[in-house]
Amino acid sequence: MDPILRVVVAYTFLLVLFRLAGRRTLGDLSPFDFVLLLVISEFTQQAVVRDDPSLTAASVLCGSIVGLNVGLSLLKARSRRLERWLEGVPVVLVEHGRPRRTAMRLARVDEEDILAAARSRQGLERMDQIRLAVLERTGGISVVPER
Amino acid sequence: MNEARNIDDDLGFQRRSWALQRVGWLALVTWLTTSIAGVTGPGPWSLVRVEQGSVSVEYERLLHLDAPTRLVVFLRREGPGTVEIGLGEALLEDFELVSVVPRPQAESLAPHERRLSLDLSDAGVVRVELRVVARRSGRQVAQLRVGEATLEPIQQFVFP
Repeated sequence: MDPILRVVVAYTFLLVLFRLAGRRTLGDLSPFDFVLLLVISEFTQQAVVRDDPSLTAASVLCGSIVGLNVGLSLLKARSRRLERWLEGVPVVLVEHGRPRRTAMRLARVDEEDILAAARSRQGLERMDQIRLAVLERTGGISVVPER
Repeated sequence: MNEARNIDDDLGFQRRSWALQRVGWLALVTWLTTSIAGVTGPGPWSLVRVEQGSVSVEYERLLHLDAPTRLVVFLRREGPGTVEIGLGEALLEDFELVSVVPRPQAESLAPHERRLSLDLSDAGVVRVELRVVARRSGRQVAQLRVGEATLEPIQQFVFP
Protein backbone atom coordinates (compact mmCIF):
# COMPACT_ATOMS: atom_id res chain seq x y z
CA MET A 1 0.00 0.00 0.00
CA ASP A 2 1.25 3.43 -0.83
CA PRO A 3 2.71 5.27 2.20
CA ILE A 4 0.33 8.22 1.79
CA LEU A 5 -2.62 5.84 1.65
CA ARG A 6 -1.35 4.19 4.85
CA VAL A 7 -1.27 7.62 6.52
CA VAL A 8 -4.85 8.34 5.39
CA VAL A 9 -6.07 4.97 6.72
CA ALA A 10 -4.21 5.37 10.03
CA TYR A 11 -5.44 8.97 10.45
CA THR A 12 -9.07 8.02 9.75
CA PHE A 13 -8.91 4.99 12.03
CA LEU A 14 -7.45 7.02 14.91
CA LEU A 15 -10.00 9.80 14.35
CA VAL A 16 -12.89 7.30 14.61
CA LEU A 17 -11.28 5.44 17.52
CA PHE A 18 -10.75 8.56 19.62
CA ARG A 19 -14.26 9.78 18.81
CA LEU A 20 -15.61 6.40 19.97
CA ALA A 21 -13.49 6.49 23.10
CA GLY A 22 -15.21 9.72 24.09
CA ARG A 23 -13.98 12.99 25.44
CA ARG A 24 -13.45 11.80 28.97
CA THR A 25 -10.91 9.20 27.92
CA LEU A 26 -8.08 11.57 27.13
CA GLY A 27 -9.54 14.93 28.13
CA ASP A 28 -7.35 15.50 31.16
CA LEU A 29 -4.18 13.52 30.62
CA SER A 30 -3.14 11.39 33.57
CA PRO A 31 0.38 9.88 33.50
CA PHE A 32 -1.17 6.57 32.39
CA ASP A 33 -3.10 8.28 29.57
CA PHE A 34 0.17 9.82 28.44
CA VAL A 35 1.85 6.39 28.34
CA LEU A 36 -1.19 5.05 26.46
CA LEU A 37 -0.76 7.77 23.83
CA LEU A 38 2.92 6.90 23.44
CA VAL A 39 2.07 3.20 22.99
CA ILE A 40 -0.61 4.02 20.40
CA SER A 41 1.83 6.23 18.49
CA GLU A 42 4.44 3.45 18.52
CA PHE A 43 1.96 0.86 17.13
CA THR A 44 0.81 3.27 14.43
CA GLN A 45 4.31 4.39 13.49
CA GLN A 46 5.42 0.83 12.75
CA ALA A 47 2.43 0.14 10.51
CA VAL A 48 2.78 3.40 8.60
CA VAL A 49 6.56 3.55 8.16
CA ARG A 50 7.02 -0.22 7.56
CA ASP A 51 10.57 -0.74 6.31
CA ASP A 52 11.37 2.68 4.87
CA PRO A 53 13.10 4.85 7.49
CA SER A 54 14.49 7.32 4.90
CA LEU A 55 14.32 11.08 5.40
CA THR A 56 12.35 11.40 2.16
CA ALA A 57 9.68 8.95 3.37
CA ALA A 58 9.53 10.73 6.75
CA SER A 59 8.99 14.11 5.05
CA VAL A 60 6.25 12.67 2.81
CA LEU A 61 4.50 11.01 5.77
CA CYS A 62 4.74 14.09 8.02
CA GLY A 63 3.53 16.30 5.17
CA SER A 64 0.58 13.99 4.55
CA ILE A 65 -0.54 13.89 8.16
CA VAL A 66 -0.23 17.65 8.67
CA GLY A 67 -1.99 18.21 5.34
CA LEU A 68 -4.84 15.92 6.39
CA ASN A 69 -5.20 17.78 9.66
CA VAL A 70 -5.25 21.18 7.97
CA GLY A 71 -7.71 19.87 5.35
CA LEU A 72 -10.04 18.54 8.02
CA SER A 73 -9.90 21.79 9.99
CA LEU A 74 -10.86 23.70 6.81
CA LEU A 75 -13.77 21.32 6.22
CA LYS A 76 -14.90 21.74 9.82
CA ALA A 77 -14.75 25.52 9.46
CA ARG A 78 -17.04 25.29 6.41
CA SER A 79 -19.47 22.74 7.86
CA ARG A 80 -20.81 23.25 11.35
CA ARG A 81 -22.58 19.87 11.12
CA LEU A 82 -19.31 18.05 10.41
CA GLU A 83 -17.63 19.91 13.25
CA ARG A 84 -20.37 18.88 15.69
CA TRP A 85 -20.15 15.21 14.65
CA LEU A 86 -16.37 15.12 14.82
CA GLU A 87 -15.84 17.14 17.97
CA GLY A 88 -19.18 16.98 19.74
CA VAL A 89 -20.84 19.88 21.54
CA PRO A 90 -20.32 21.26 25.06
CA VAL A 91 -22.45 19.46 27.65
CA VAL A 92 -23.83 21.34 30.65
CA LEU A 93 -23.27 19.14 33.69
CA VAL A 94 -24.28 21.46 36.55
CA GLU A 95 -26.62 24.44 36.49
CA HIS A 96 -26.98 26.66 39.58
CA GLY A 97 -25.61 23.95 41.85
CA ARG A 98 -27.93 21.26 40.48
CA PRO A 99 -26.19 18.35 38.75
CA ARG A 100 -27.74 17.07 35.51
CA ARG A 101 -27.58 13.38 36.31
CA THR A 102 -28.46 11.99 32.87
CA ALA A 103 -25.88 14.12 31.09
CA MET A 104 -23.28 13.20 33.71
CA ARG A 105 -24.00 9.49 33.40
CA LEU A 106 -23.85 9.49 29.60
CA ALA A 107 -20.69 11.61 29.58
CA ARG A 108 -19.10 9.32 32.19
CA VAL A 109 -18.49 12.21 34.60
CA ASP A 110 -19.22 11.96 38.32
CA GLU A 111 -19.64 14.63 40.99
CA GLU A 112 -16.08 14.11 42.16
CA ASP A 113 -14.73 15.03 38.70
CA ILE A 114 -16.78 18.24 38.74
CA LEU A 115 -15.76 19.16 42.28
CA ALA A 116 -12.11 18.47 41.45
CA ALA A 117 -12.35 20.86 38.47
CA ALA A 118 -14.13 23.41 40.68
CA ARG A 119 -11.43 23.20 43.35
CA SER A 120 -8.47 23.35 40.96
CA ARG A 121 -9.80 26.05 38.62
CA GLN A 122 -11.97 28.24 40.83
CA GLY A 123 -11.08 27.35 44.42
CA LEU A 124 -14.66 26.23 45.09
CA GLU A 125 -15.53 23.63 47.69
CA ARG A 126 -19.23 22.82 47.28
CA MET A 127 -21.63 22.01 44.45
CA ASP A 128 -23.94 24.90 45.41
CA GLN A 129 -21.10 27.35 44.72
CA ILE A 130 -21.10 26.30 41.05
CA ARG A 131 -23.29 28.28 38.67
CA LEU A 132 -22.27 26.32 35.61
CA ALA A 133 -20.05 23.32 34.95
CA VAL A 134 -19.55 22.38 31.31
CA LEU A 135 -17.83 19.42 29.70
CA GLU A 136 -16.03 21.17 26.86
CA ARG A 137 -15.36 19.73 23.41
CA THR A 138 -11.72 19.27 24.37
CA GLY A 139 -12.70 16.94 27.25
CA GLY A 140 -11.91 19.38 30.06
CA ILE A 141 -14.51 20.61 32.58
CA SER A 142 -14.90 24.38 32.86
CA VAL A 143 -16.55 25.85 35.95
CA VAL A 144 -18.31 29.19 36.41
CA PRO A 145 -18.86 30.15 40.08
CA GLU A 146 -22.07 31.59 41.51
CA ARG A 147 -21.70 35.31 42.07
CA MET B 1 -27.50 27.08 21.11
CA ASN B 2 -28.36 28.42 24.54
CA GLU B 3 -28.74 32.15 23.77
CA ALA B 4 -28.71 33.29 27.40
CA ARG B 5 -25.37 31.60 28.10
CA ASN B 6 -23.96 31.58 24.56
CA ILE B 7 -23.07 27.89 24.97
CA ASP B 8 -23.64 25.59 22.03
CA ASP B 9 -25.07 22.79 24.18
CA ASP B 10 -27.58 20.52 22.50
CA LEU B 11 -28.51 17.54 24.64
CA GLY B 12 -30.63 16.03 21.85
CA PHE B 13 -27.68 16.00 19.47
CA GLN B 14 -25.38 14.79 22.22
CA ARG B 15 -27.74 11.88 22.98
CA ARG B 16 -27.65 10.83 19.32
CA SER B 17 -23.90 11.14 19.39
CA TRP B 18 -23.66 8.98 22.53
CA ALA B 19 -26.00 6.39 20.99
CA LEU B 20 -23.73 6.22 17.94
CA GLN B 21 -20.74 5.96 20.25
CA ARG B 22 -22.22 2.88 21.89
CA VAL B 23 -22.86 1.29 18.49
CA GLY B 24 -19.19 1.99 17.78
CA TRP B 25 -18.17 0.29 21.03
CA LEU B 26 -20.18 -2.76 19.98
CA ALA B 27 -18.43 -2.75 16.60
CA LEU B 28 -15.07 -2.45 18.37
CA VAL B 29 -15.82 -5.41 20.65
CA THR B 30 -16.95 -7.46 17.62
CA TRP B 31 -13.76 -6.52 15.78
CA LEU B 32 -11.56 -7.52 18.73
CA THR B 33 -13.45 -10.78 19.36
CA THR B 34 -13.23 -11.85 15.73
CA SER B 35 -9.54 -10.90 15.73
CA ILE B 36 -8.91 -13.21 18.67
CA ALA B 37 -10.79 -15.98 16.83
CA GLY B 38 -8.57 -15.50 13.77
CA VAL B 39 -10.87 -13.76 11.32
CA THR B 40 -8.52 -10.82 10.81
CA GLY B 41 -5.24 -12.70 10.91
CA PRO B 42 -3.52 -15.68 12.52
CA GLY B 43 -5.69 -17.52 15.02
CA PRO B 44 -7.71 -20.72 15.53
CA TRP B 45 -10.17 -19.97 12.70
CA SER B 46 -7.37 -19.10 10.28
CA LEU B 47 -5.26 -22.23 10.82
CA VAL B 48 -5.69 -24.82 8.06
CA ARG B 49 -4.30 -28.33 7.65
CA VAL B 50 -4.54 -29.93 4.21
CA GLU B 51 -3.78 -33.65 3.80
CA GLN B 52 -2.79 -35.18 0.50
CA GLY B 53 -1.54 -38.78 0.55
CA SER B 54 1.48 -39.08 2.80
CA VAL B 55 1.94 -35.31 2.97
CA SER B 56 0.05 -32.70 4.92
CA VAL B 57 0.57 -28.96 5.09
CA GLU B 58 -0.42 -26.66 7.92
CA TYR B 59 -0.64 -22.90 7.38
CA GLU B 60 -2.53 -19.75 8.27
CA ARG B 61 -4.92 -18.71 5.52
CA LEU B 62 -5.22 -15.18 6.90
CA LEU B 63 -1.98 -13.29 7.36
CA HIS B 64 -0.62 -9.84 8.09
CA LEU B 65 1.71 -7.98 5.76
CA ASP B 66 5.39 -8.04 6.83
CA ALA B 67 4.64 -10.43 9.69
CA PRO B 68 6.38 -13.82 9.79
CA THR B 69 4.29 -16.95 9.41
CA ARG B 70 4.94 -20.70 9.25
CA LEU B 71 4.22 -23.20 6.55
CA VAL B 72 4.63 -26.64 8.08
CA VAL B 73 4.95 -29.74 5.93
CA PHE B 74 4.40 -33.13 7.58
CA LEU B 75 5.81 -36.14 5.70
CA ARG B 76 5.08 -39.76 6.52
CA ARG B 77 8.32 -41.59 5.77
CA GLU B 78 8.99 -45.32 5.56
CA GLY B 79 12.71 -44.85 6.08
CA PRO B 80 15.61 -42.41 5.73
CA GLY B 81 16.32 -40.70 2.41
CA THR B 82 16.35 -37.43 0.54
CA VAL B 83 13.21 -35.45 -0.17
CA GLU B 84 12.88 -32.46 -2.46
CA ILE B 85 10.52 -29.60 -1.73
CA GLY B 86 9.75 -27.21 -4.58
CA LEU B 87 8.57 -23.69 -3.82
CA GLY B 88 6.48 -22.31 -6.66
CA GLU B 89 7.04 -18.99 -8.41
CA ALA B 90 4.10 -17.21 -6.73
CA LEU B 91 5.34 -18.19 -3.28
CA LEU B 92 8.78 -16.78 -4.06
CA GLU B 93 7.37 -13.55 -5.50
CA ASP B 94 4.94 -12.72 -2.72
CA PHE B 95 6.80 -14.13 0.26
CA GLU B 96 10.32 -13.92 1.59
CA LEU B 97 11.72 -17.24 2.75
CA VAL B 98 13.42 -16.59 6.09
CA SER B 99 14.40 -20.08 7.23
CA VAL B 100 13.83 -23.79 6.74
CA VAL B 101 14.04 -26.28 9.60
CA PRO B 102 15.69 -28.76 9.21
CA ARG B 103 18.22 -26.93 7.05
CA PRO B 104 18.28 -28.18 3.45
CA GLN B 105 21.45 -29.91 2.24
CA ALA B 106 21.20 -28.26 -1.14
CA GLU B 107 19.24 -25.53 -2.87
CA SER B 108 18.80 -24.93 -6.57
CA LEU B 109 16.77 -22.73 -8.88
CA ALA B 110 14.65 -24.21 -11.64
CA PRO B 111 12.67 -22.15 -14.20
CA HIS B 112 9.51 -21.93 -12.09
CA GLU B 113 10.53 -23.02 -8.62
CA ARG B 114 13.18 -23.04 -5.95
CA ARG B 115 14.18 -26.56 -4.93
CA LEU B 116 15.21 -27.52 -1.43
CA SER B 117 16.80 -30.94 -0.88
CA LEU B 118 16.46 -32.30 2.61
CA ASP B 119 18.28 -35.35 3.88
CA LEU B 120 15.86 -36.91 6.35
CA SER B 121 17.28 -39.65 8.51
CA ASP B 122 14.13 -40.36 10.54
CA ALA B 123 11.27 -42.64 9.66
CA GLY B 124 7.67 -41.89 10.69
CA VAL B 125 6.20 -38.40 10.54
CA VAL B 126 8.82 -35.78 9.77
CA ARG B 127 8.12 -32.09 10.22
CA VAL B 128 9.62 -29.48 7.89
CA GLU B 129 8.99 -25.88 8.87
CA LEU B 130 9.26 -23.02 6.38
CA ARG B 131 9.27 -19.60 7.96
CA VAL B 132 8.13 -16.94 5.50
CA VAL B 133 7.17 -13.25 5.54
CA ALA B 134 4.35 -11.93 3.34
CA ARG B 135 5.61 -9.03 1.23
CA ARG B 136 2.42 -8.24 -0.69
CA SER B 137 -1.12 -7.72 0.54
CA GLY B 138 -4.23 -9.24 -1.00
CA ARG B 139 -5.14 -12.75 -2.12
CA GLN B 140 -2.20 -15.08 -2.68
CA VAL B 141 -2.14 -18.53 -4.23
CA ALA B 142 1.08 -20.43 -3.65
CA GLN B 143 2.22 -23.75 -5.04
CA LEU B 144 4.25 -26.34 -3.16
CA ARG B 145 5.70 -29.59 -4.44
CA VAL B 146 6.92 -32.39 -2.18
CA GLY B 147 8.82 -35.10 -4.05
CA GLU B 148 6.73 -35.98 -7.08
CA ALA B 149 3.48 -34.75 -5.59
CA THR B 150 2.27 -31.23 -6.38
CA LEU B 151 0.11 -30.19 -3.48
CA GLU B 152 -3.19 -28.39 -3.73
CA PRO B 153 -2.61 -24.63 -4.08
CA ILE B 154 -2.18 -22.84 -0.78
CA GLN B 155 -4.70 -20.01 -0.69
CA GLN B 156 -4.04 -17.17 1.67
CA PHE B 157 -5.18 -13.62 2.20
CA VAL B 158 -2.69 -11.05 3.44
CA PHE B 159 -4.17 -8.10 5.34
CA PRO B 160 -2.30 -4.81 4.79
